[in-house]
Amino acid sequence: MLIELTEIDKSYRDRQGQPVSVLKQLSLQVEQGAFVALSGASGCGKSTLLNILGCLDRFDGGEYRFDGENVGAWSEGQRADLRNRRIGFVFQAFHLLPFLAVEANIALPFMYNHHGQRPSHEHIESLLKSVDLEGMSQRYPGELSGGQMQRVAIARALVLGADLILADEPTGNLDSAVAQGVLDLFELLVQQGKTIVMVTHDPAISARADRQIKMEGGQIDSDNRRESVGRAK
Amino acid sequence: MSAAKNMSAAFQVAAAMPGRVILLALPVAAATALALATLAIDQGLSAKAEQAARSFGQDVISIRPGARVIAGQSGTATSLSAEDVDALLERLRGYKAIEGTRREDNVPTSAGSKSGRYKLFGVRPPWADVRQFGADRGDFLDDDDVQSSARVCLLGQTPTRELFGDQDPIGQEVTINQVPFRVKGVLVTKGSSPAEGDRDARIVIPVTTFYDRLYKRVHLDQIVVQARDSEQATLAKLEGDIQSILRTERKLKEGEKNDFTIRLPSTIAEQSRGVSRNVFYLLLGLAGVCGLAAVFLIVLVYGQAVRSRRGEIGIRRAMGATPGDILIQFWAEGLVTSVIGGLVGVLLGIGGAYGLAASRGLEFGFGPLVVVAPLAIVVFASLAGLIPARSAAGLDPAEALRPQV
Ligand SMILES: Nc1ncnc2c1ncn2[C@@H]1O[C@H](COP(=O)(O)OP(=O)(O)OP(=O)(O)O)[C@@H](O)[C@H]1O
Ligand SMILES: [Mg+2]
Repeated sequence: MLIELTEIDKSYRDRQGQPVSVLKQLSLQVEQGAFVALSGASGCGKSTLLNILGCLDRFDGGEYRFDGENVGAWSEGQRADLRNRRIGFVFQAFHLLPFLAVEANIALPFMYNHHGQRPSHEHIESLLKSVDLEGMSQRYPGELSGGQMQRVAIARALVLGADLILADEPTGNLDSAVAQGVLDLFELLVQQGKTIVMVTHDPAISARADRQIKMEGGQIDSDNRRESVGRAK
Repeated sequence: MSAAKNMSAAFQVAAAMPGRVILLALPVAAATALALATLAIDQGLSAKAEQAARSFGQDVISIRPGARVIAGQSGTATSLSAEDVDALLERLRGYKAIEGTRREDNVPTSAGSKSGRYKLFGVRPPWADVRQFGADRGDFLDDDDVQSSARVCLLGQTPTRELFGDQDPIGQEVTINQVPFRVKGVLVTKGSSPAEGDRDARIVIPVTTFYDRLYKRVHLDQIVVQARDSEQATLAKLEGDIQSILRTERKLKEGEKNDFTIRLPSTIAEQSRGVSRNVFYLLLGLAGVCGLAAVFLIVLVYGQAVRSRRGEIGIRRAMGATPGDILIQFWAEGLVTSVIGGLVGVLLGIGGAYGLAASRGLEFGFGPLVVVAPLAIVVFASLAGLIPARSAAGLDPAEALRPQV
C-alpha cells in the first residue's frame, strides 16, 4: 500500500482561535498504480486532504504511512526530501515561474535535491516529448497556452521520478478538449505505474479515474472502484 | 552545496528583474558613495589641518591684532604692543615662553643681480624654540644681535634658493629694503601651510633691527605664547587668562569686543581645513538618510515581492524546499542589490573624492572610517533583506498554495 491514512483529524483555527474541524476521523488507503478522483462540495476538505497526503500540511490526530513509513512523525527536512523525490504536485494555477524558460522550470526540483545528478538536457527533452511539448524547452510560460503550461507542470512533477502525483483541480483552468488531453497523459502515467490522486469537480473528468471518492463534511462519503475490465494493463 | 543552488535561484530572479535590482541598488549606492567621498575628503582635510597645527606648534597660542579675521591674514589694527607682552609676562601663569614679533610682507630683497620679495620677521632668539624654526645651517640670532640692533639675518629655504642658487649664502650680503644685511644662517625647511602660505619664503632679523633700521613701527604684529604642554585643557586655560589680562590691560568694557584675536592650534587646524566641518556633518547626515531610505525600500519592496510571490514560495516548498532554502534564496536576492549598490557606491565614491580633490585642490585620505562607514551601510542593507526573507521562509506552504483572492 502506498498510502495509508488512519483516522486523520485536522482542524483549522478561526479568527477567534476556535478550532474548526475540517477532516474527521478520515481513513483512506491507496495502492501503488491507482488513479483516484476526489470530489465533493466546495469547502469539504479536498485540498486539505491532498496537502496532508503531500506532506505539505500537518494533521492533529491519526496516522499517515507513506510506503510503510510513518511520515507524519518525520521532521520538516525529511518531509521536504520526500516531497522532492517521490511526490509531484500539479495545481489548477500551474505555478510555473514566469521568469524561467520551460527547461529551467522543469529542472527546478533538482535545486532542492541532495542526491542525484542534474537532469540532462536529453532527459528534459524526452520528458517534453512525452507530454507532447517537443522543441518548446526554450519558450517562456507566457508564450504557452493553458494546456501547454499544465503539461509543463506535469513534466516538472515527473522530472525526479516521483511515484505519486497529487493534482488539485488540474483541469480547472482548461477547456474540456484540452482537459481530456491532460487526462490522456494521466492515464499513460498510471499505465507506467505512477499513482495519481486528483481533485476534480467535473464528473466527466472523474469518470476517467479508476476509483471515485466522494467527500462530505470532512469524511469519505462514497468510494467506488471501476472494474478494471475496460483498461488494458 | 544547497546554499549555492539557492543563491543561483536568487540570481535567476534578479536577472529576470534588473529594473528592481537597479531601483533598490540606487539608494544603497548613493549612501555608500556619499559617505565614502565625504569621509575621504574630510580625512584628507583633517590630515592637512593637523599638519598645519603641528607645523605651527601644538603648544603655541597666537595673538594677533584686530578682531577675528580670515585664515592667513592678520588684522590691520595696531593694537599689540610691548606693554602687552610685559603684562602677560608679569601676570600670566603656566607658560613656557612669550614672544612678540614684528612682520612685514613683500619686502624687496636682493643679492647681487638676483632679487625677490619675502616676508620679513623681527624676532628675539627664543622665537626659534617657540616656533621650532631655528637654523638649519649657520647660527640663529643671539642676544648680542638684539642688543646691538645688528644687521644680520637668517634666510628661509626659498630666498636661499632664489637668491643664491647652489652657492652657500652664509657670510654673504643681502640687501633688505635697501639696507645691507649679513647672512648668519639658513632656516629649517617648513613647507607651506594653508594658514600661512609658503612658510619658507621668509627672512628673520632681530626685532630691534626691524624697528631701528627698517620700519619705525612701535606695535607688534603677533605675540606667541608657548604653553607648558599641548594639553587641550592647558591651552584653553591659558586662552582664558590671556583674554582677561589683555582686556584689563587695554581697559575694554564689558560687552566690548576684543581688539585682538587669540588662536589655539585647534583653531588654526580648523581654519586651515578651508571647508567647514558642518558641511561634512550635513553630507554625512544626508548619507545616513540615504542609507535609511535604502533599508526601508528594501524591506518594503521585498516584503511586497514576498506577498506577490506566495505561489512561487508554495511551489518551491512543494518541490522540496525547506524554510532554510527559502530564507537563503530571498535573502540572497536582497543581498545582490545591497552588494551591487555597495560596489557601485564605492566606485562612485572614490571617483567623486578624486574629482572633488582635483577640481577644488583638496586632499583626501583613506583611513579605517572611510572603509568602515560604507561597509556598515552595505551590512545594514543586507540585514534589512533578512526581514522579508524571514517572512518568506515562515510562510505555511499549504497556505501559500491556496488560490489568491
Ligand atoms: N488556513 C485556513 N484557516 C482556516 N480555515 C481554513 C484554512 N484552510 C482551509 N480552511 C477551511 O477548511 C475547509 C476545507 O478547505 P479546503 O481548501 O480543503 O476545501 P476544498 O474541499 O478544497 O474546497 P474547494 O473545492 O473549494 O477547493 C474550508 O471550510 C476552509 O474554509
Ligand atoms: Mg480545494
